[in-house]
Amino acid sequence: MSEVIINAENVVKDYSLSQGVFRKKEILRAVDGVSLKVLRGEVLALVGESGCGKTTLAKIILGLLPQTSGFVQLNGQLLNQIPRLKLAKMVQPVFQDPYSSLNPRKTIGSIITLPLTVQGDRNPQTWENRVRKTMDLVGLHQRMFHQYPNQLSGGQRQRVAIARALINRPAVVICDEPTSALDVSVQSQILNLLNELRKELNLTYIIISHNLAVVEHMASRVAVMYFGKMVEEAETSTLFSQPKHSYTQKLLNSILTPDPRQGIPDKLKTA
Amino acid sequence: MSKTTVTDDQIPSAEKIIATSPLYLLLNRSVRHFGMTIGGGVLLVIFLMAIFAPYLAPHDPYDFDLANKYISPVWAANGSWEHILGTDGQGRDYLSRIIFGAQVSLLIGFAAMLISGVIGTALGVAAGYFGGRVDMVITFLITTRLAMPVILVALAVVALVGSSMWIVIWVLGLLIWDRFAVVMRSTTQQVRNMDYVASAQALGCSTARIIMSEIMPNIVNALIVVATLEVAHAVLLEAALSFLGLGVQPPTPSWGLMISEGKGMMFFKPWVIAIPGTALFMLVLCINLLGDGIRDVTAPENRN
Repeated sequence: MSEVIINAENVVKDYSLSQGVFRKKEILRAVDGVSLKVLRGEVLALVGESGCGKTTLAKIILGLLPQTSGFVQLNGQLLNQIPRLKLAKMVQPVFQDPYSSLNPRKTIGSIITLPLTVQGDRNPQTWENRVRKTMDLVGLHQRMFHQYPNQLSGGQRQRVAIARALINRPAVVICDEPTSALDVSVQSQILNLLNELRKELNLTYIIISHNLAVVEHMASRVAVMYFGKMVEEAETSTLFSQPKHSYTQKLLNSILTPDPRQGIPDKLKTA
Repeated sequence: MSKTTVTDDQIPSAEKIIATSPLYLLLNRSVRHFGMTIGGGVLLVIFLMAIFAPYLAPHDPYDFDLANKYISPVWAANGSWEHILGTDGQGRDYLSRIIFGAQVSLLIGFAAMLISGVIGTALGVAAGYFGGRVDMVITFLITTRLAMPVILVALAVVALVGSSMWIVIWVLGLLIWDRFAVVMRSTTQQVRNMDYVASAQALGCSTARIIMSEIMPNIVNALIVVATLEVAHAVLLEAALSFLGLGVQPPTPSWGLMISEGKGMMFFKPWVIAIPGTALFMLVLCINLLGDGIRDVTAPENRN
């Protein structure tokens, strides 16, 4: 039995919709009482339709958004009591769009070095080593060190984003749809890279995805979110063979298959 | 027919072709940008003219000689090489006054731009980055400022406090920050929603570091364009204030003041206002050309 690394209890996030001082307060509840446990070393997939609160939950776990109520524990420590820099060494994100996740004004080298400088490493000698090692690890050529993001392809950019997330060896990596902005042929490369890195560095992943094929390939456990609530949570094989919640069933029925005779799934089939 | 022989040193090595530094590429693109070359070139000439004014001016700009007033420029029938651009109503050499006037225009333009740029950028970036209450307060400040007509307020303040060049600079600087604030606010809002800002936050960067190293480099293009526009704006406002008699005080040579002093004669001696008018036009045009050029050349999509 491995230890619980992330423990979220009853997390609620409200957004205030009203603007201006004198108007009535309107509230949108993006995450509605979600409880979640992630074990060290596992891959948890968060699935659900657009706007169901997956990304908001991820941002709360990353410490980018404060929750309205409930709490998140990392390694048994309350998230909002962990100092900024320490938290950064524990959880790191990989975002969906590698075109907006890299600062276009910085070289690849300085993007990958940033986590080291932020952590107070002032010695260029150790940067050099660690950056080169990390670049090798994610399959980036050394000559890209001095290039700018717009000189790289989508897959290469995503590798840079992964390198930046991994250089400080965090325990948890939250991948927010890591492949959906990429070319189909590159998607599998990135997924395989993530899988290899997980084994090599003993990482824990939370993968947010729309793509159930990705989920089946990567995840050991799946959590399904629907309108801000966690509606189902099960081992991947169990969920795919015996979905319980009606939304999960709909979701599984909507997968496109390569078989042309089955046509495009639509409401008729799921009804 | 002879064979063309190419020696080794004529072929650029592969390293030379690949390893061009970003600075070299930037310079290369700048030189190829037509508007920027022209604008920057003429602006440089005006700058040098202002700096070396005492050595370049053929006469003392304050030296009046009532016997020789309104001498026509050299291209007119009765012009002379003694006064290339003629003389004004008090017999002062027009060329010398134009040359010294460049000092006044550039100093007021750049100083007012710096003051307003610091105020406007600070407010705009704060509003765009923090949003919420901060944004509401700053937006209110911006709308309040936009509700005040610049010329009117400047006239009122200058009339109350008295006018000198530094008062004009401060009044303009404290008045024309609105465009900086508006543009910086909206560009910061755009950049702030980028994932690389979220990444920097997740990496534990401080707010100051995020603003300086993630936000600023990505809004500096817009900043440069607004800054050049505001230099031109300030130059024109100074000319307008001087024209109305509340800017730089005579006998200081200022292009706006020269137009003002010549307006009585403008139907009889049109060059009296045409010459400082052209100088003003050229300066404003060149600043704007340079600003557009800088924006084009430093755009990241150009970097390849």
